[in-house]
Amino acid sequence: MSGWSREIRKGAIQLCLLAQLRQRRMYGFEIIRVLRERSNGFFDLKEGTLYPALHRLEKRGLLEAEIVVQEGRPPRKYYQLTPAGETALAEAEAEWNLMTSAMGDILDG
Amino acid sequence: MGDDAPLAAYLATLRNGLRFRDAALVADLLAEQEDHLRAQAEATGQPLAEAVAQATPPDELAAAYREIYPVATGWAVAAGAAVLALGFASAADQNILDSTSRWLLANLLYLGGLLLLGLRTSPRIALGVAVAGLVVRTASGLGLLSSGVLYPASPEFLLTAQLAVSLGGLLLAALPGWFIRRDAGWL
Repeated sequence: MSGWSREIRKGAIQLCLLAQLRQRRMYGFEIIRVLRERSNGFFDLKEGTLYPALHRLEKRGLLEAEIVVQEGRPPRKYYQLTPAGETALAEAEAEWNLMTSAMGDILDG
Repeated sequence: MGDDAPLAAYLATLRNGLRFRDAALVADLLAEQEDHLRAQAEATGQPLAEAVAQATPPDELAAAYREIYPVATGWAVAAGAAVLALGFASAADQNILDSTSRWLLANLLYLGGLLLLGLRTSPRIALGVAVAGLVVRTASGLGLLSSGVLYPASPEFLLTAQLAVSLGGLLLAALPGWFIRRDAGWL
């Protein structure tokens, strides 16, 4: 992975996670799989990147977790957007669109 | 069960890297990581040990979580940290069930030190140190428990053992002054 790619991904991960959880609650491994599929492999997160990012968002009150007990296995933690998360996602999405539009103009020369 | 050994070792390292964090939080982080690794192994059809080997190193993951969740504060945790720094409990108390031999060695050194102190100084000083040791060790035991360091060790065992060793230390510190003649030739 090139340095540029790493930086771009790093900046976009939180937005990706919020967007991913807009439609329904998901658990960590599921998020990784769906993100990888929907981005055609561009976002192929390791769990060491995903979970700390999820916990940061949870700590900021943008995500909330629900623990689901599983038989014979550790409990599974599902994440979902909070109302504050939905607001933050809308703001971040608007910023992202502005930025990509501006970047498009700059890169097009 | 053999396949679970690398997972257990991985989780133990992760837990060790999250010392002094809230016990419930640590349990939550460990359960989440275990669930992830098991889900990955199942989804890919690879052995659990292989999924563990490919996972983010536990030290690295613990470091990331430590940034998010700073050490809790409070007298009990402070006492626990102080006692670790002083070497009374050391790593042995953190892993009391994982490393009983180290815990025993640390306590033998502690008791030996008190006996030596009792022999070489006045009984009052030795007793003062022993009483301080009792207070600090009891407080640290409570601190280590409340901070989650001992998860999932037996709290009753720890507190009883801490108390027993501390009381033993008191006796050892008092022994030279009260029961051994200090003018004995071998001193």
